[in-house]
Amino acid sequence: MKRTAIGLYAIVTLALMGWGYYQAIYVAPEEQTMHEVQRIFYYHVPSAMVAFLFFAISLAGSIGFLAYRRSNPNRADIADAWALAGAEVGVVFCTVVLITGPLWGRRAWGMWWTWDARLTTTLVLWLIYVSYLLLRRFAAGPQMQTLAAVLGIFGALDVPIVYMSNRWWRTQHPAPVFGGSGDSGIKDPTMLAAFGWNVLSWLAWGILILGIRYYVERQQQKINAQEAQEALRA
Amino acid sequence: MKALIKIFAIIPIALFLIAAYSIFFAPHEPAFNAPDKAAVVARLNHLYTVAAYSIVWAIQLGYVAYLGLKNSAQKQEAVRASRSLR
Repeated sequence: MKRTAIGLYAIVTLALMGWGYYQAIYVAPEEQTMHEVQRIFYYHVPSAMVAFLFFAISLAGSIGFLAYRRSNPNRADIADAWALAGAEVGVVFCTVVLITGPLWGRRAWGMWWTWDARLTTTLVLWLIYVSYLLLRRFAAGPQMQTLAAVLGIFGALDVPIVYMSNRWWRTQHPAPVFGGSGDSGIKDPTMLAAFGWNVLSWLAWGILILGIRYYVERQQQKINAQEAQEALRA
Repeated sequence: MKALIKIFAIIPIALFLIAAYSIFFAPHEPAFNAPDKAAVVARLNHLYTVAAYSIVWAIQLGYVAYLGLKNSAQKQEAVRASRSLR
């Protein structure tokens, strides 16, 4: 039953991805100033939104781990698995943002990178979560999960800074799609629909791989527990 | 299942190659008064869009392949651990 539901969800997600791609490439009209290269936006912005959401999941998992680590070890393990899954999948989406952005910038601005507030804070966010993953990969000992949880909480503090950066400071980055000034955002309804479909499809895809990553981490925790038991017996 | 993981691993490499080819073999930016400027700019825009979409899928499918490989390694590890417990 569970496998069927996951299989159905995966099929719906793939159909959504196909539909989102069709909307972005064939249905949405070409933007008048940036022309075809503007279509990168349909993958770039949804990826940023999904990355922020998954860093928030990582934050919740990290807080949960710190809250339960003494009182309920099983719940703490679950929270820790969510924290790791959120951070890792968030880094994947943030990498997409940091690669597609410069590709667009090279055509729109004539340069790959500029040290403006939005770009720099996003790079800092990516570096914090990459260091979180490196800590989890290479550190050992009972304090590793606690240290990672603290780093995860501090990393998530950068998310609102990234989001607000092009409101707080003068930046070269385009104005926000939602919640910006009166003349910012998408005006064409076809473009808005293509954007909406891509947000939905990337969110569905993100949830699918987040679920897989969570499952893999829980399996790893079970193997580690089994190995610890084996070591005690030996 | 292993074949599926291998396909997931090969597709990202192909997509990375497409992206690299689109960027590194793209024509040079045309001069301001070049007669075919509009055509070259349109070609460049197309190549960069292809590169961006290819890289996105290369990263996403590459990550799924990594998870698949990790999961199959875990299954083998679990079998080994349960055998040694017996």
